[in-house]
Amino acid sequence: MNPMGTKKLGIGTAIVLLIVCVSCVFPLFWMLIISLKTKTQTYDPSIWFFSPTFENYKNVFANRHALDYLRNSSIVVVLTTLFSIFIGGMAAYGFARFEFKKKENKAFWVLSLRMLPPMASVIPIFVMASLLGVLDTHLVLIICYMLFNIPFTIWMMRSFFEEIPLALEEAAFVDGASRFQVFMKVILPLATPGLIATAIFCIINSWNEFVFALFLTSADASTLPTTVTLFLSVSGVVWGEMSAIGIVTIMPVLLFAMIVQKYMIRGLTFGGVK
Amino acid sequence: MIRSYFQKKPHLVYIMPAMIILGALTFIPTLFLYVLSVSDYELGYSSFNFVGLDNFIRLFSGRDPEFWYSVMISLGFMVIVTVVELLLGFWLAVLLDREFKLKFLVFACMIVPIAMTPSITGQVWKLMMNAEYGVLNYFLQFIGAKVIWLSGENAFWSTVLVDVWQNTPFVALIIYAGIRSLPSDPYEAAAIDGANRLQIFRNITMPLLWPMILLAVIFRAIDSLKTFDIPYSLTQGGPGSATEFLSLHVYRLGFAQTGWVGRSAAVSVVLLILTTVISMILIRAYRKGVENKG
Amino acid sequence: MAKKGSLLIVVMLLVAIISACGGNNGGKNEGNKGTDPVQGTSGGATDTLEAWGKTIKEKYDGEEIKLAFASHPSTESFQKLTGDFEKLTGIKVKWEVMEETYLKNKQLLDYTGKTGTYDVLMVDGFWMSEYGAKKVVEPLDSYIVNKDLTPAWFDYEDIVPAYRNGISKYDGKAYGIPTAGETRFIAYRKDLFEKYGKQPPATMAEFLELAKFFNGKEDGLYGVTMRAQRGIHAASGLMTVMYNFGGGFIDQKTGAVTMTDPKTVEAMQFYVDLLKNAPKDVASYTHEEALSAFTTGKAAMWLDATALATRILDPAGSQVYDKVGFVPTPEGPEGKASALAGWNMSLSSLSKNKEAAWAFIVYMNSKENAKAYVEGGGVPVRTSIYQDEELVAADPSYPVQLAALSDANVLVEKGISWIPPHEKLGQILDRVGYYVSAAMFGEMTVEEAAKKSQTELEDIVGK
Repeated sequence: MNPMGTKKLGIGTAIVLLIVCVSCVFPLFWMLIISLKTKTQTYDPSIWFFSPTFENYKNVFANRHALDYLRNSSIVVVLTTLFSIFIGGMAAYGFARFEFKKKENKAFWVLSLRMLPPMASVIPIFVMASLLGVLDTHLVLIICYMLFNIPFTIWMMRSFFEEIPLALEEAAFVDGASRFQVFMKVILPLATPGLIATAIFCIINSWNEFVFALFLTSADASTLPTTVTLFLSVSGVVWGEMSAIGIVTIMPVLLFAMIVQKYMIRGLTFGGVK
Repeated sequence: MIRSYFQKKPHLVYIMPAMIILGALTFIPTLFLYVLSVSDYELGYSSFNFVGLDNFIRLFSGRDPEFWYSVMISLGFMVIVTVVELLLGFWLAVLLDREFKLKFLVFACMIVPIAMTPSITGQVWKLMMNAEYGVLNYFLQFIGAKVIWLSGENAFWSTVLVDVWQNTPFVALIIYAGIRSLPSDPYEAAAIDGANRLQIFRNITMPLLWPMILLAVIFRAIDSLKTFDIPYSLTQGGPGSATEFLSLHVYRLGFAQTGWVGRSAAVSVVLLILTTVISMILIRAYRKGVENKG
Repeated sequence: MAKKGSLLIVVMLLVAIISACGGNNGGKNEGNKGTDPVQGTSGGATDTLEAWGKTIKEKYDGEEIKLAFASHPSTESFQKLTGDFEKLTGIKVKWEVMEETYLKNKQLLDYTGKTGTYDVLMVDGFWMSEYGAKKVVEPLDSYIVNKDLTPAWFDYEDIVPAYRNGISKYDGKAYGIPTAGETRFIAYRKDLFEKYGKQPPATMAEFLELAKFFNGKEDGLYGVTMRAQRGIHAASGLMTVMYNFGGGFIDQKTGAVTMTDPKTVEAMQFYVDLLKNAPKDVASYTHEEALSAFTTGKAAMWLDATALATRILDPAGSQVYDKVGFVPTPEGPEGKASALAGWNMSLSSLSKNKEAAWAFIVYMNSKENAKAYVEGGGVPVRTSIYQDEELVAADPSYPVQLAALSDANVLVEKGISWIPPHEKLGQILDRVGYYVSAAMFGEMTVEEAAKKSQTELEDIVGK
């Protein structure tokens, strides 16, 4: 099972890993500390022990509409993930099970779309959205996020589908099911681990997306990442509140990612190694 | 007629919805971008003129002094973070490739940077890197050092540092996943042949892992070339032009204070071409890697 | 098949886009006709706040207005008054408060996208010419003279004339109501000046000398701190001293670019030299970093906006609150001059609720509410406030602010507007700020910076 030789955890490795862990978590930890400090305390990093204040959290929910942002983020992310996984999943199945002309070229065209710089497409998308009257709606973000979520889904799900033995499908055909029924009832359930792995990345990417949200939404549909712009001001960067809303932003996705950790790492092979 | 068409090509039913959505979302904006890039459109005005290739000539003739600098640091940033993250990530992946009890905890820690919102991450690092009241300098003072993290000379490297912090775990996990899914037969065969560790690494592990490594390179190279969120919150492209990467140059020209949408669209076109060319090269290499292996 | 489909969509969209671009001007005029403010309102008592509130409530009860404001002490103060306004008029207020660069983007994008999301905009004096020229904001003169819309207790004339004329007008027309005025002055550390037997600077030469003197005098102490970040901040920092040297970006009478004028170059050289005595990362400082460097005791002097004085004097956020004195901007070779900048409230030209939005502006900026506004942390713009004894006792910087304002008047009398009134001002500041910052970094000499910015500005202005 372990081709590179079985190794034990030496003391040196343990120390390195400990350092890695601490440095990975430290910014989050620091943000948590800041969010619990009073304003003057934030400017003094030598204060480690203090009685925490929840004032910052109270403020972001009471005055900064944190709940609205949270709601917008949730609506956009859930819907875009569902649509992307469904539409992308279908396409992935198409790529996995059918032979057609220039299949690989099409597949890699799809992949290359993930590489589009959002900064390059956001100007024209803004103008188009304004013509269609969908600026500052959840819809526009849901659709834009599909731009990177669908290619990602196609790419990841394709290898998961390819791993499912053809025999299972054929058995269902014999029972008289149509191909689409087979896809819905046999293939998708079997690919659940892959769906979860894909979903994690779609969720993380959409939840954290900044450029589209920054330009295409304002009062009604802004998502959490755009809140960073709220805390820079003439009256000082409100570090405490910024950290508080940062914690609110990061926690849901982080907890979710940790819960499904196993699938996430499995998904990271992206079918590159089968 | 349509029915029979779909019956002849059953895959279309499955891939069409995705293709139409993706096509509409990329083709039209790109076309639109090209139109804007040959205009002198400014944000907020209701009319504009077509100016031919003037915007591009301005860029390439050096009348936009920041442009070349932007291209340079963007490419430099791409190469540096990709190499550093790849090396560090590879090393980490190898370190993780052993059995111990608290491994899930290490993974949990490594997920933190991956899941942290980049725009917010940039802000937190900005606070931590503040020269006077940042926590990094607070730690450094114990060894008598003080770094002006976001000064003209250091801001670029600080941005590199934050990017490395945020993305190395991702690279490490990809390579780790790759290592874990290596088939065992070649190793058994090699062991029988009495190959040494270096030979095994060079002749078996590397070729097998190659696609995964290329994959990590594709992700990191392209994502770092179009980086926006972190420098936007960390430095806003400054001080001076120290961290004005192409995306930020687009932003500053087209929005921010100046509103030269036409000129900024021209820079976008350059950025688009750069990413397309680089990702085509990398994807081609990746496909070759997969085919050779397969 | 897929290709043909998308091609069709492209063609359709292009047609739509082109027709939309062509139709813009016509559309806008029609919009204005519908809501002619002079005919819009008539009848209903407005002579007292309560009566006005009742009249407004009858008309606009339950309507919602949206605001795009900058994060600013004044905004926070307005937010405190919002509850009363909503109760009085029945108009619901939805706030959106954000960082200022982003705010400008948002406002211009909203205007470009013809979304009309916002009704009331908070507009920096620096943006006014651009907004006026692009018709982002509504001309307000007809609103101000209309007694039904603007009751006597609003008292437009009470607003400091320098602000009314200096930050809210374009082409002679008012496009905004000044809400937060600022000029700039020096805050200095009284304790340090006493310790070393120094007097606060009265001239630019003394200012530079003192900055050199204090720089490094004590451990971790710098001579001076100012805003100097590349772009508008550096340009605006330069402007703080430029007029005292008689310099300028453009000649405000002829419109010619004057970056290479010896006086401008001298001012630029002074600014660059001065900031050699600032913290090492001053080139990344906005007003925010400059301020915290001062309030954490890292600098002996600070030259920036009067609006920030309250934060220096705030014991909760400032470590030097009890050791500071203030003096006006020092006299330069060309005499006295002082900044004149600030924020306005304006009506979005796309607003669908102009009169309800105007009611908000009237309420918030009225003389009637001015005291409550200032007590809530707002930055004053009214003569009556500057002369209010109670408030002067509470904020010792007021007299110096008034003195600085009279310095600002020196420019007005010369016929110069501190903020150059040019519709491309954003671009001008950006370019000047770029080259000043480059000179600060030593990437080029001040003379080169002046020459290069001259060329770029001519390109912008001449267009």
